[in-house]
Amino acid sequence: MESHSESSLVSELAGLLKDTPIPKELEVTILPFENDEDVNTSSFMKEGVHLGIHAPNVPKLARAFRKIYYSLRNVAFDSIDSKNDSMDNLMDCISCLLLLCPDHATAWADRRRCLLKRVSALEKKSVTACMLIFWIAELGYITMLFTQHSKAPNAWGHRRWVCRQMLALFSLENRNGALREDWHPSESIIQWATLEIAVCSVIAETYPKNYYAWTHRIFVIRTLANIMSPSMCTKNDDNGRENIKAVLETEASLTEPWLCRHVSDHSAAHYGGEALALWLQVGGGSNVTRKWKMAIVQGKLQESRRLIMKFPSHEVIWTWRRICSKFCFVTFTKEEALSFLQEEISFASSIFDEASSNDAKEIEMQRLFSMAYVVWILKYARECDFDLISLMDEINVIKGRVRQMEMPKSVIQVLMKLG
Amino acid sequence: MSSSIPFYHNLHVQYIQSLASKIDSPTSYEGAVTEHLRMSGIYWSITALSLLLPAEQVDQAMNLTSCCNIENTSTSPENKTTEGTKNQSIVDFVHDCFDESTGGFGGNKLQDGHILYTLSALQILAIANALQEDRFLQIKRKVIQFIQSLQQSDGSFAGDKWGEIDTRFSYCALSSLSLLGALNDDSNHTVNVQKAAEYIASCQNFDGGFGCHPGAESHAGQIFTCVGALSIAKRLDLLRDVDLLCWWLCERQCDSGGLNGRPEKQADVCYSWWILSSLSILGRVDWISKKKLASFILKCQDEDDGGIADRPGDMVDVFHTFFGIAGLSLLGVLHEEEGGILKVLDVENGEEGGEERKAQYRRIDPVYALPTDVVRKLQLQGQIWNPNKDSSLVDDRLRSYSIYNGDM
Repeated sequence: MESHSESSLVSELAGLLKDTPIPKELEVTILPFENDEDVNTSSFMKEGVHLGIHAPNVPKLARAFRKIYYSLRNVAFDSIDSKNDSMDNLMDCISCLLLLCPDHATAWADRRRCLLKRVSALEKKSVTACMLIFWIAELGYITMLFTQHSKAPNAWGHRRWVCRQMLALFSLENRNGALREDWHPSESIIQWATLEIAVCSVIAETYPKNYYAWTHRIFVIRTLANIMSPSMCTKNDDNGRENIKAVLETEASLTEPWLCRHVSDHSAAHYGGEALALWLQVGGGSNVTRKWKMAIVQGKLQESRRLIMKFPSHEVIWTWRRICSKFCFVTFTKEEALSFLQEEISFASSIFDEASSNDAKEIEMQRLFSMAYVVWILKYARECDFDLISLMDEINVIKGRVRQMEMPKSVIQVLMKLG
Repeated sequence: MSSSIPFYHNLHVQYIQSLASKIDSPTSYEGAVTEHLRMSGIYWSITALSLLLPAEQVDQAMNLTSCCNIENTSTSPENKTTEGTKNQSIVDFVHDCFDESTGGFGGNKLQDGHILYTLSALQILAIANALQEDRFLQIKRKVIQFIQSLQQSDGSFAGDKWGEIDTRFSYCALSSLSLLGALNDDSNHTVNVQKAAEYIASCQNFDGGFGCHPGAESHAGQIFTCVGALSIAKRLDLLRDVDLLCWWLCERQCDSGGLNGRPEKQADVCYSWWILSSLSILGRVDWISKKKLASFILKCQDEDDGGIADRPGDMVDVFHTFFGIAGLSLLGVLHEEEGGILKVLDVENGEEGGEERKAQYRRIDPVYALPTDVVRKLQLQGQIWNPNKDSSLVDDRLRSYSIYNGDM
């Protein structure tokens, strides 16, 4: 009887996952049942694209799903001629289990085994469009999962694996000929990238500083940058290259507006650095000039200055300036870099001297971050083999400032080693 | 001046000892959603308790090597259920999680082998002194081959056959091989340790930190795995600008005294481990305010039921309990003689009893996250960075490691 009840739980939830409209949002919470009878008989609720699982029932549900899962996986994979039914039942069970245990590595692995079996059947029929729809549907399931569980490393790893299956499919198209005369694989890749970036963006808005979402976004733009290479793009795909460049330029330009709305988002600042590096690498085309790069970097410095004027007591805003300054040392000549250092010392010192707020804590933070920034770029410059002799007067002033404040020992240690 | 909050010894011991029955209870929410990583959960609880109690008491309290409830603790097929560790010893449970098809250990029974849980399994067996048992020696070769199969051509490691790369897996692989005594085993052609180290070095960012792969955002947890792996590989010389890295780590200390994992994140007790262990290996623990950190960790204790939470007032869990205790050990406050800043509360034996308890506490090793006596017994290798060039300033627990002082 218990087994029948457990199976019916899987059937019920799997049915809700497959019935249209396909769920796009998941919530594990205390569901608003209208009467006591429903609380005792149901663990799920679906309204439109919103799927809810009753949180107090999670222990019971997880045990039930696991029990069915372990019994099914033996049957599905041990049998030489795996029947579609047992594979389908296993897939349904995994779909349910992962909603509660999104980091279950073995369940994800079994899910991949099931997916590969299914897609190989489509491959035999050479229906590429169906295969694409198949993988897009899988991405949809993962996206739904992320609305409740955005920090499960194995879920993100699975998403990347699915993306690689799709990218291989696009390459296959390239190798086996286009669907139509004017079709290029870069078109599909851009559509894929746009979808992935949108998903990462929504997650980052809902769950700020989400390490996995931003890391995945880096994976996406790196994939785009890689296919800019001549060996990847077809010969006459200038349109594709321009479209890819447009995506990369957009990504490289989103840091300031994002940080204005999410001032503490270090992941976004780091992403901004990676996106800028890729844009500098591919944006200028084959005739990229130092002048073009300098203009981009100078633009970033101006953005960063605006952010600091708005949010001078936020660590991440100063971190973004550190990232921008890194590009200066790579792009500028030695003379330009030394001049830049002097300007930075002057700028940070003005922030230090003019720190004002009704909140004493904010003033303290502003002074701490401005001086820490100066010490940081001086150290970075030293590591880049810049001679700081001409800046010793300024360095001594900074040492004086640092002595007046209660600076962390780490800052003092680094500053003293500058000479 | 001592902290006003004591270390609740008895409560933490009781909390850890009661975990097994709580987690496997049918009504446990935490147990339900963490079943797949039970191996790591057991490692956290065993190691935490091992810092507080002598090895024999841990063995008895946790059924580590034998189970007092039944006579026969062999791993028969009937025992391979997924219902926790009932009626079997921890070591038996570990062996039940061995995945013959891969050669690795799963997070629980009937699961695929994965490098994360393979390390946890080996750490448990090391604490239980079970790595020389016949039944382990029979599978040892397969475990080594499993780890070897995960190394990629660029030196990185996947977690399993599905190929997801992460610097955590590099640490797990090197630490596991070291526990198996197979790190430098040329005759058996195990992994390419130098290439593994070079890959890790390639993950260092401009800010001095490390992420999960090259170009990924710096994260204190990933930094530990990279620094720890380089220590095991004895290639700390590959680190670019150690001062910058340590400064990044120290910038994680918040006003509360706690440490966060990235800029402008909330402080979390687990970073007491990830960051302190890295700073210990790199010889710069004194760059942070130890008193403030110790005070933060102590505030995260549950003074009614024991255990430690991620931050004050939150619910406790075994993960943060382990890393909180490990952090206090690394800070040294758990081992200071009478008059130190940490007072141990032993409700059974009063203040004197608290001092006696403290004197018996075992130290944790920052490279392997195991009690130092276990590390010494297995003669595990490692390397530390000593910026002082005066070896007498090196912490006792690190003296068996080779010293690098940046001159190479």
